[in-house]
Amino acid sequence: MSAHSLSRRSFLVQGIRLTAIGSLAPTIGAAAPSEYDAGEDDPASDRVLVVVQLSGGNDGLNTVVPHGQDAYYRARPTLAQKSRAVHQLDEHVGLHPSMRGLAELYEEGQLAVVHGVGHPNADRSHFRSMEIWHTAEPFAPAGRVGWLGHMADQLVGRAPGSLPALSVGGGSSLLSMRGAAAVPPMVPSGRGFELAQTSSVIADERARLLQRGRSKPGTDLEFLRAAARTAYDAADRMSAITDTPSEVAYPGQPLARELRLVAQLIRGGFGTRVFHVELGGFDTHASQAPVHAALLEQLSGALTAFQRDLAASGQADRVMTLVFSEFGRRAAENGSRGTDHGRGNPVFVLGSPVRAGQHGERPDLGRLVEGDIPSTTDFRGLYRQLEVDWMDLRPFAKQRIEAPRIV
Amino acid sequence: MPPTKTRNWDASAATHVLGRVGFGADRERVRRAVEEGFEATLSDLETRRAHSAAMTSKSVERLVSLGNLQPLQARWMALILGDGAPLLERVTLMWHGHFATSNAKVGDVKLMHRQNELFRTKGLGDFRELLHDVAKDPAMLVWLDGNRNRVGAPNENFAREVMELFGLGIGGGYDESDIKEAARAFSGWTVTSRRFSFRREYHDDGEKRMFGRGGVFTGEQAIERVLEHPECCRWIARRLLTTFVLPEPTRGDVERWGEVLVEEDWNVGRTLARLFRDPLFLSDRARRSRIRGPVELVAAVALATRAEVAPADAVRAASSMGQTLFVPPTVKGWDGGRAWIDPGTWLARHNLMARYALGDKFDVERTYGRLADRRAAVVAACELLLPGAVPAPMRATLAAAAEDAPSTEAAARRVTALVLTSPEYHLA
Amino acid sequence: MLIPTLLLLGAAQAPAPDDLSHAATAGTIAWVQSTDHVELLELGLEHPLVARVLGHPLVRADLKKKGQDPEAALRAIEAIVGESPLDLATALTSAGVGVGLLPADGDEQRPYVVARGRELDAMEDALETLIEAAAPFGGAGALPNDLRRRLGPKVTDAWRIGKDGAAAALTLGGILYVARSVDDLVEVTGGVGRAIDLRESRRATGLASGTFAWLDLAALEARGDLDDLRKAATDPGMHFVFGPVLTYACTARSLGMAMRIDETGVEVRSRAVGPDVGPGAVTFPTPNEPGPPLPVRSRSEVARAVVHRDVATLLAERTELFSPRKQPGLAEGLANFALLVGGADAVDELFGSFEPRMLFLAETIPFPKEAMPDVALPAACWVARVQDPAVNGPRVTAAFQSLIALTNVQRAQNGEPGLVLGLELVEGRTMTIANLPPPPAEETVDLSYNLAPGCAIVDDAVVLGTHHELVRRVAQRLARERTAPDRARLVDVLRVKTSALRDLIVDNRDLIVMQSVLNEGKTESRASLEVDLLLDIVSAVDTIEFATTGGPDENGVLEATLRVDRTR
Repeated sequence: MSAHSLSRRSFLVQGIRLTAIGSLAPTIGAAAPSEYDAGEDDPASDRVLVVVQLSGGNDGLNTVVPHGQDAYYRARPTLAQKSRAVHQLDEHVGLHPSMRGLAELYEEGQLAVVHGVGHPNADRSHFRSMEIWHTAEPFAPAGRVGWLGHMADQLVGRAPGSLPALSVGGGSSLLSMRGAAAVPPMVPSGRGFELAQTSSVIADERARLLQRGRSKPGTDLEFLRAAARTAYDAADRMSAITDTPSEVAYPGQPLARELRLVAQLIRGGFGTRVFHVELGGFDTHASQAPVHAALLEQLSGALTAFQRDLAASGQADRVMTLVFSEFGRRAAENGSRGTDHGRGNPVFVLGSPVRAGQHGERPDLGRLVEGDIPSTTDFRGLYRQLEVDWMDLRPFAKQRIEAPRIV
Repeated sequence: MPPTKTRNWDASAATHVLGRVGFGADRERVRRAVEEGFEATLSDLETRRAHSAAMTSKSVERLVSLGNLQPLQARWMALILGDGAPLLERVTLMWHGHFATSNAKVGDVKLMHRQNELFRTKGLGDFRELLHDVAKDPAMLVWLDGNRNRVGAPNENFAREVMELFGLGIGGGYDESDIKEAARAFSGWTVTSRRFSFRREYHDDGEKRMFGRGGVFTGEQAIERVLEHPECCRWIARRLLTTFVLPEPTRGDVERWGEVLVEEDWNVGRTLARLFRDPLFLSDRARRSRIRGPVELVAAVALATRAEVAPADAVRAASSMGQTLFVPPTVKGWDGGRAWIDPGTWLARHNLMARYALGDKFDVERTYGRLADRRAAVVAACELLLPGAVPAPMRATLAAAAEDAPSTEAAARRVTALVLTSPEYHLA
Repeated sequence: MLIPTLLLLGAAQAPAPDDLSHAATAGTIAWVQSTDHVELLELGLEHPLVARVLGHPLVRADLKKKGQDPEAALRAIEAIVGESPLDLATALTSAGVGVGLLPADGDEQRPYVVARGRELDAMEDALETLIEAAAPFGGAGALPNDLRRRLGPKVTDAWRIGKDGAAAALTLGGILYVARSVDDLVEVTGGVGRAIDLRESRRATGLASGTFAWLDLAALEARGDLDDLRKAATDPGMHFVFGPVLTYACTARSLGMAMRIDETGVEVRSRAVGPDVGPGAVTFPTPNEPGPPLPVRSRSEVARAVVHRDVATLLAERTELFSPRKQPGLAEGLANFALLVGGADAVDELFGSFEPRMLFLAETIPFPKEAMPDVALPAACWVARVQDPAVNGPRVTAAFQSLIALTNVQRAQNGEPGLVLGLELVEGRTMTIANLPPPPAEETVDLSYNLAPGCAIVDDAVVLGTHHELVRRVAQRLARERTAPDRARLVDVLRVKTSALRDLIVDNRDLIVMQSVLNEGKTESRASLEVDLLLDIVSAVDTIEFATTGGPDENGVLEATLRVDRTR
């Protein structure tokens, strides 16, 4: 391909991006109250939120272990973690033995543990619970927009042309990331986005087809067009940034690879403000112990490397990381050396700016609700702080719900 | 009333029928369908049973015996691409999404194969029988921990999904206590030597109450109770409608076709036969209303272009676009619709389609016949891939692309690549 | 013309050496020569092998698809050149052709070609024809005199070829040289006969062979091309898989290989000269090292290998031999093994008690009807002498039984039925066997049913196998009669009988066809034809045998031979 046609192609891609943003701007502009419009100099304008989703329902009692309670050892005859083996945060609780890195971050004041997080109208279905966490709506049927997608919608309005949100790795489209206008891309970990070389011969016409095509708003065709535009745009901009290697060594597992890409994109100024990564496999109904230990080791290793990487590149002050799971598991282990779906669960928040330490009510196995740790902190109260106080955006949930201060 | 009288029976309608009831068709098949008419085309799709002998022979069992998932995936893809039993394979794919079971947890290719054959043999029959069989299917029992559900140590996984996903749907008129009670009824259902077995000593033989009534003792009775629930036929009707007709059926559509399902004594094949012959099926609401799923997309392109594609490659292609056969992401299956598309999967679609049309696997002459000139290439591609659905500006752009190409062959490739990567093509 | 007279005169005075290896120049780092091609050139497309390949339906289909026709291609060249290309090639190379490589000049590779025809007249005619035909491609002509002079008196004629500076020369000895530049041509014609190692290697591998190749490993190493290979020589894993001779051949100064083809088959002989047998992972067999007891051959034999693998030394020196990264894994493996045999000391004692020469044997076996695997594989077993059998024999048996028990724990966790242990008397010796329970009726029988291991101790020999049927047979044959290891100088001997291989392909034909349909998108008929072709090839071969000699001989040479015998 000649240099001439190359530049022409870039121009067309650029043109499309501007068109796409142009069509969004009025909606966003009209809806956004001016008090939330941050200026260029506002420190919040380059803050980043990273969400780590533990899918399947993480066993919180074996993650933040209540090693001071005999009831814990009675409820978990084969699965309980020994008091001596856990990384004790105090005389009440300690982190699972395979989470050394997170214990260090706790010591250094970079980790907050919020106990007993959940929501009213608890549901034991993975799907329903995940929907509730994704849409911050425990009562009505799930809508089509998630809380992170709602952030993305606002951020597109503020920084036209940026990719406000990305989910890295992963295999399925996430409801939490769906916005009303923005369609946050999913990025393969490692090399990021790329377009097939062979398709360069049709690049000009492809761009023209997208540009000229007409479709009614709200239709699937319009949806497909928007997705295609975002995709071509992302592929164009991604390649330049992903080459820079990281100075910090990461473990070899997928979650670490994904977080390394996130760190690269943050450091490289890709402009994305919300990242989502996922670690699955927490639905441990049977023979839980070895599987759960390996998952927690992977989680702790990846998060620790990520946090160190951010510090080394001077980005730590502008990044917060939220780690959640759709529900905890029952206090008592089941007959197959596993645990069934439960309710309240600890949430981790990492970062230099975080109010480190423990928040909320420590789980008390003497006061279970239907065999579960009750939820004593509504996750929507945490969301609100991350949305409003950290990201300086409008909250997704209309209702104002209080929760311990983490920001 | 036969739709041929209410609407034009043309290439567009024929392509709709061939691509909805089956997985797609080449130029010659569309031409023949237009000639033979709606009824002949439809009944061929419904009744054809002409799978390649090798792919249904005893050798398949030996292949499965080797224990790898990949040949099993490829064999199913070969059945789809072979187009030997179009509706049957589409229904098999539908049930795989409905009763989504993943080898990621089951880890036993023989069991996955047996479940797949169950969908194939019973998928067009009585749904009640299918649900009973699926409940006792070894792969399902392993997948949803049924085999670990014992009296005193209940495991609710299967009981929950039999209502939430398989029989009634979320919000389908059941509560937590119904799930707990059903789980008791299923206790003792387990797998021994790859077969269903009932372990009386693990069964909770007390009476269970479901949906406000007592009288349930066994797992079979619990399934019956789900089938008797008024939401059940509607939930299944919704599945048939979203798979074959339109992504967002109205409550009225769902209720009506739920009634038809019951009228037809729960026979899926007969219900579908009525659905296909209903004006709704060829209506504007139904046409080009579904976003193609990855397997559907791969099959449609392969069949339309008579591609000599390796089934294993087709499996990988669908996988990179978000649909791995025998490995659905969750027990909910693939969400489908808009959830298929995000910029990542769009790039996967774009790259696969462009590489195919511009690469040497795509045979222009096999697909379009001999093309007189560049203009003929545009006409042929539009007619085959998007009959009656190419707006004038799009056609003009395609024509310009064809004019710029160095040869007629290159023009056909570029136009094909442009159509296959256009958002329009991904609706069908 | 004066030249022929002169040449004849020259030839009479200095008889041309018979073998083309004399034409290789000093400094050559890689060399290949052949006379085997001559028959091919003479018969052309009528050559039986060529005709068979071109006539095969698969090849025909491929050529047709690509629009290629070898006959037409030859005719097209003939139309340009004015003579049959095969005849020209015959005229120039009927007494041999060789290709050499000089050390590269920066990125520039420096190959040269040497050729000789049986008839000098025919050679000259052919050259003349080619030079005329070269006109449209940049031309060819006599080398200018100033350059011509640099080539010296032995050269009778010289040409420049094309635009890129390539040049050719015909020498007094009737040998044609072609090189990339005049400088290279000066070097190759001037240094003739000085590639001493190469010539010696040629002589030693047997002048009767038609094809010969030689590599100057030391020179290649200097270029940094051999780093991986050199490292491999000290790698314990390499030793274990490839044996001492092949592993140490990696350290040789040079490597020569000769191939001889005749009606009985093909033989390839290789010689590695000057291996660096310094400290490393490998031990060579001692002169009187006892061989394993060899059971008599059976009709159902698929493969047998007698090899020298010094496991005891490997373990004793593991801290030096294995890389630090592998040490933890190794230690863990040994600790697990220690559980089976009763303590860490027992591991060392047990491994130390095995003679390093051992036998691997694979045979087809009959399976019971009710547990006939869907894909039945040949059984394999391992036979080795053990010192102090009264102590070590029971240790092996105990380890075998513990291993089965551990396997069963694993299988039980996966919900699979366990292996059932049993004892049996074979020729008065106890054999331990393990069987899977018979599969349920109507159930397919998966690969795991190929595994029904057995363990027997016959006098001082341990027999361990994947299926007790084979262990039983071998134990019986060992107890009744055994053959002595015959070729004492040979260390590793691997012999594969293709008849059983053929049966395996025939039995699983449907699977092979199906896999190639599914994975490569071939049509059933094409996949089927390909299996036919594979069967043709396998059927044409009776046995494949690979043998290496022991440690380096007094001249520091390691030898290995590969023989493929045709079916008669």
